Amino acid sequence: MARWRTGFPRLGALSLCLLLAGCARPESPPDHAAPGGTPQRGGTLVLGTAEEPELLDSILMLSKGGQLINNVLFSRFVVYDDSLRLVPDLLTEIPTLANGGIAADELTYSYHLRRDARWHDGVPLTSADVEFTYRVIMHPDAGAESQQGWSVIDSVATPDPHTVVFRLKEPYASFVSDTFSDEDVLPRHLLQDHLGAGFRNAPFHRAPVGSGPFRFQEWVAGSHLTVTRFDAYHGGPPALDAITFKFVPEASTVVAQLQSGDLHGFDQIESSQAAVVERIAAMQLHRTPSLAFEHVDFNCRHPLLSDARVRRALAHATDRAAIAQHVYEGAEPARADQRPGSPWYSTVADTALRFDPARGRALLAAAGWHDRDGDGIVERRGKPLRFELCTTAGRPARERAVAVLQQQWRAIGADVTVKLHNPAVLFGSQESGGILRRGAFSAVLFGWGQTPDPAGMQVIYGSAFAPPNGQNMGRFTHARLDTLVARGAQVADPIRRVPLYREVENILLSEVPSLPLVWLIEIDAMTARLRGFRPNPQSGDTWNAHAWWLAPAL
Amino acid sequence: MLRYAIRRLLLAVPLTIAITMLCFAIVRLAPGGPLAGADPRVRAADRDRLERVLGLDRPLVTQYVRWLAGVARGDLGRSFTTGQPVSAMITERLPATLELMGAALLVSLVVGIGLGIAAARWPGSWLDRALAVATLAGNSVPIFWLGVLAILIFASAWGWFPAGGRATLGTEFSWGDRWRHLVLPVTVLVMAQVPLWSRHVRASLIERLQDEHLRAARARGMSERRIWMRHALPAALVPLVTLLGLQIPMLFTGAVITETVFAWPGLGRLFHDGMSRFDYPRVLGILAVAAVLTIAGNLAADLACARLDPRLRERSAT
Amino acid sequence: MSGLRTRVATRVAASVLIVFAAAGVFAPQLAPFPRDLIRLENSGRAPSALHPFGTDMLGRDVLSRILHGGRVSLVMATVATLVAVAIGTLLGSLAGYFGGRVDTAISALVDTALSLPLFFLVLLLGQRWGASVGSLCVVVGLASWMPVARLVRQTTSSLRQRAFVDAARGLGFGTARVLARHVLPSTAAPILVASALGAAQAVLMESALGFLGFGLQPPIPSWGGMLREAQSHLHDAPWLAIFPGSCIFLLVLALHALADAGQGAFDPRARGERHVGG
Repeated sequence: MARWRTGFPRLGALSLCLLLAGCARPESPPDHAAPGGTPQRGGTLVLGTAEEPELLDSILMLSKGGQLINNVLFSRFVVYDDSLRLVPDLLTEIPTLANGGIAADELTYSYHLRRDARWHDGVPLTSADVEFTYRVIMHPDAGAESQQGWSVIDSVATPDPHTVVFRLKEPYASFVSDTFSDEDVLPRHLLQDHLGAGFRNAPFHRAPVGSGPFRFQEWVAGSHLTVTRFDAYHGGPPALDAITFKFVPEASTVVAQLQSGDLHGFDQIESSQAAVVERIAAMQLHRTPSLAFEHVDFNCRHPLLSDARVRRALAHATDRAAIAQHVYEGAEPARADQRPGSPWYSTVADTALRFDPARGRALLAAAGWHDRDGDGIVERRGKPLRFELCTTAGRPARERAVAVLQQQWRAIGADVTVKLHNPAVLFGSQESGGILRRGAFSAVLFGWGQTPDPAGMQVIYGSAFAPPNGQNMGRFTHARLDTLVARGAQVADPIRRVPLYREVENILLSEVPSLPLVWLIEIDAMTARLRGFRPNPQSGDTWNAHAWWLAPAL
Repeated sequence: MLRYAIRRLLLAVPLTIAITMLCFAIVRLAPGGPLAGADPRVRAADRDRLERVLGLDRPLVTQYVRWLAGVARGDLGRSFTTGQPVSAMITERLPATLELMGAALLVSLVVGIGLGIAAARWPGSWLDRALAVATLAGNSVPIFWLGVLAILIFASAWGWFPAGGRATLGTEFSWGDRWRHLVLPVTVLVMAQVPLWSRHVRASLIERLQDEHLRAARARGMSERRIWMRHALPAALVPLVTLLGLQIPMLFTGAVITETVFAWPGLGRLFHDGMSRFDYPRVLGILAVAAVLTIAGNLAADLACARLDPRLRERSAT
Repeated sequence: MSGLRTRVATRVAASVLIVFAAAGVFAPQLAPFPRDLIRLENSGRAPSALHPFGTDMLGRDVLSRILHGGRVSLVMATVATLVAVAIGTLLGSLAGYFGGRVDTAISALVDTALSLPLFFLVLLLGQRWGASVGSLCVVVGLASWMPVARLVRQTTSSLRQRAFVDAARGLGFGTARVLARHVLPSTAAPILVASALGAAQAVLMESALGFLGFGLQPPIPSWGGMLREAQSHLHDAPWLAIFPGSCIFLLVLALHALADAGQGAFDPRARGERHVGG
């Protein structure tokens, strides 16, 4: 199922470019897929990436750096394209109610696989591989990163080598967009003997055989990984001969290598380097809005923060535009936790939490907070509005953000102390003392990647989903919201879902359990010679690498 | 001599074990693990399952004993994040570190000894004074700053040398290319290490040259050159052996800072990555290797020292 | 090196140290701006009359942050060195004074400590416990006491034989008194030199930790941390790296110069120098 990912600006943010009708297009040079010449075969592309992956298939714990590589080696059922439309990869068509792929009872899903899909060793890809991969994910010892959502499947049937039928226990609204959109299909014939406790250790994961447009050639740990063209790819043989992924953890060396031509592209250019990279003649910069989303979560059970007016006041005191521009250096201010242009976005968000410190002060006063002793901090019943804002250590942007928030909230009278935590301590399990899960925080700044489908809101905001049952870290409770998100997660018909989630948004904007801050913008540098490059923060920029080709140098 | 050696060896074994226990405790008592930092929205059920798969849910002592038993067999366990055997990861990265540190050691030895000799030969000269100043500066400059400045000036601004990495990708192996990649990191390391050698050589030589015994030889008419070649130099260089023994571990454990700044694919960077990802087996494996090498290096240095100076065997190790 | 030059060099070094110390102590008064004052519209400005060292990416005045960061570095160096000197003097004097088994045991301890792959361990401990100034001082101090111990042991054991110590013992003075009033004062000079070296080492170690991200965490400003933040802005804001780095360099240089000045008395080998990581 689609997994939520943290928004790590430098470390492989998995983000989403949401471009539905009516939304602004990303800033990008003219479309490369259009006439610019006829595709030429040949050439090796050297792409830099900041983080070296640990394992190459996405089912096991994959560090974010592996997504670029994973895309070219493996295939999935569906992929989000750069306009956030779902397109089939291994499927002949996307199952819908109309074409019968989704049965009327919304419990049976039938998938038809392409007949020309092959593994890199020549063996055809069949439904048996799909069924095997499902077993891997559900195996208690194999170590799949997440089984979330997969447990809704009651049974998997493979009536013929190119058909897979899933029967669900109950309706699951986002089944089509979540199933095998993040997870690769694995080859049964190579891995079935390893299924079991030692699955993680199988050498396959560092020298995989996939079904993607490129095949694995070599991996020199600490240096680079090379893949070469797979001629029998079901989408047609790629034009490029090979792609080399070079691991460059140091920001300062990236620019130098782009200048010298040692690198043809890099997927996570920092905002501060963008100006320098833009000046390199051979390079082009691509700026793409993503769905990596930074926000402040409040602990709704905290005595001082349980009043929604206080939370709203803090929201009004936050100058998101300034934070987006200076702290995150070119991010987009977030007004709600859905992007404008998304069908789930409610236009109430345009102004609901606007920057208005005067309004913030008024709200605090209405809630009984006044500054009686003139020290700049408001009190109520003798107690000052004092609490702690924490975030992860080791992220310069977040460290700056909390410093700025501290100052902005001070302006309306809140005295905030800042604390940085080891991410392991912040996000750890309840038993190990994880701060979020134990609810041992007042306000916390962190981020994750939104999913295109809002079905997941239930486990974030539903009152029954406080840890350990879900991810409602702030222990937010709202009866009407509970009803809405429960229904939304079950209804598959988009027309009926939209009004539900719009209302959910309105509730969130009024109660503010979580204060949205910014949407991160991904900046990619790529050689101007590469045609067909369409950055895709959700699926990874290499999602269409089979369509890339290198124009000759001028 | 033999008894001394055996005594030291016997001490070394419990020492190694104690160190590994210490390392294990520090590493494992750190909060979280490879699972915690990755995704704040990992479900509790998923986390529990992964903890079981990775063997993290067993009591600490059990984990330590299993690990130690493995080490005795030469099995340093498997990385939590890669699944690769740690010993394989270490051997994979070792050549890169050896290349970098070996080159740096060689160059700094040559330059250091040369400068030390020159300074001792002409004490008080401009060379000697310049060397003293350079020594002072070399000891004081933070290596990461030097590295970053070097990249800024020589790689980015002037483009003389590549900004990082060990070789240019996609090209055939060429000595020229490899040397170009070595220049900046080695220079930075050399600037930090030369003072160590030159200062010892200089002090040692000057001390030897004052020696009574040599004065007598001079009085008897022995040429300055002969005094140098047969008496002063050998006696002065020999103590370097002990220093060398202490530097050998560094050859392997590498320079974490330099490797990080220059994106050098060696052991130091492997350690840094492992720490950031809380990959316990990897961190422990490298610590264990480093500890063993350091002890071995110290032992070798002490033994060499004792061999050369019998008086030291009597006192307990200093 | 001629004597005159040495004295000049020493005076310069001492003055530099005094300037740094004064700047650190009086940082709040000297800093033109509050260290945490964020002015986003002012971010990333090059050095100017208003901001002699420029501003950082949040618009904070770099000079003010360097002054406050210097305070932190000085506190760190001082406390860490005190920790190292305290432990080292205690253990070294006991070992040197009593000799025999005590000496063997303590020397074994020193050897163990020196056998540890120090830099790795400091990284580890720094990541685990280094976020606050206090614990970081302890970590760095624990990594630096060994040379002091050796030094003190050597001087103590040679002093032990001397007549005045015998005389003091003959008069019936207790061990502690003999140690404190007769032996240790003679070790003061070498200890001071070792302290200067230790302090230099502490500053380098702390900034290395800060640079790698394993030491003091913001909002505490530290020179190493500032260098770390500066890394991603080398091309557009090099002053963010130049000033903190230069300060570290100058401070450590001054400390080393002072140590060198006092060095003449003894053998470099006895100091047991170690280099920070590399």
